[in-house]
Amino acid sequence: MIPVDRRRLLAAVGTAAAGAGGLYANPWRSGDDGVEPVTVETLRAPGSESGSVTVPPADGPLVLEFFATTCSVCSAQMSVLAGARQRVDAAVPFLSVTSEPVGLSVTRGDVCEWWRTHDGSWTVGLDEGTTLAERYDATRVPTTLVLDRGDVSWRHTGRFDADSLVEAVRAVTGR
Amino acid sequence: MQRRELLQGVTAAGATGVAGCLSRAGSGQDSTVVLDPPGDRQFDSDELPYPAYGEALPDFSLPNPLSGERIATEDVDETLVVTGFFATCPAECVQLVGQLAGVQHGTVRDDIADEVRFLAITFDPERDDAAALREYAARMEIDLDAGNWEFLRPRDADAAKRVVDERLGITFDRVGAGESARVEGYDFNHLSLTFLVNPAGYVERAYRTSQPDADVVLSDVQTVVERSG
Repeated sequence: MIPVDRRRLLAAVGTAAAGAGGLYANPWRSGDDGVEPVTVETLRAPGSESGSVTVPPADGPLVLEFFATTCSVCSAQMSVLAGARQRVDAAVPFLSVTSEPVGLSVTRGDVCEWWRTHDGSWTVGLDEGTTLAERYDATRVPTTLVLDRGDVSWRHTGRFDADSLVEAVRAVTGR
Repeated sequence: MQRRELLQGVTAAGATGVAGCLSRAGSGQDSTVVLDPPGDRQFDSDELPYPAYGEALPDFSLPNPLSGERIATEDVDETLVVTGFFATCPAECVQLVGQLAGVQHGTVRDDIADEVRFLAITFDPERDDAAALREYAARMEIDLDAGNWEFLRPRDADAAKRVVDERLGITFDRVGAGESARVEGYDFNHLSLTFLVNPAGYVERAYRTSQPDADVVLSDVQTVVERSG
């Protein structure tokens, strides 16, 4: 993997957005680095309500996973995510998003069905127009990140074990 | 020549707006493309190591192991979407081919499937035989029944290198078994690159990303089909 200074990269994204007129116009601007949150449509599925969430959340951590229903490694990682979620502070939200072309080759129903089949039990949403994937440079799936407000404090692409995610979340929450 | 006739048609239809913007298209006088230059364009096409906006896609001819036919790009009259991939790719091609499958479904929905042909070339002919590709199509939601998606398979690794890497500029390097951190068998480091090519054989877009947005690509495809009609 190429080591990237995520904080600086995100700050650059924030600067670009602010330069485009977002600095004063956007009430959702949060944190010190000026990253504009992205609104994500969430689906009604096990553990998930129909609605929307913003990424990053206004405060606190978020475990954000990019997956695809066509990705076998993503299937295998579902139990790992579920296991890690059981072990960290219950207040830490988990969000899995797919950047697949929902509405074209994949339907919302397909995503919900996949979620049910793979025992998803947290919020699942759609990354429409691949906006979030671009923001977080998640060109591969699965890519999992631990966000601490606007900052990416941990990221991993591919398989990982529950211990590494638990450790990464605890590094943010302190417990 | 069919290409010449098509080219004239394209020029007549699409001469507005783009003439003079290209450093190297055609003879420098006639427009060979119907789309405006990409908004995020960073380089002139001739500075890029692969065929890009306004440049001719190099011709190639490869077998489709599912149909048993051989496809020669110079004989194809449709708008083309061309990419390179390997089916055991665990991550980036899932995103790429997943988006292109979405584009394909869009062409069916919008009734332009007959005017667009998808050419997905594997650079892993050893593993990606007909059975593997059929299974891959099912997994990736590719609509083989639509009749506009062709998997192409060079006959061996050398042929793949010549066509995909050297001719099309979709560069790849094999990573030996045991050296890859993500798969057990051999792996590839590769460029993720997809070409949108007009019926005259010129590149309208070279999407250099493993995650092109299906809606953006579909919109570009629709425009090329409309203006090339």
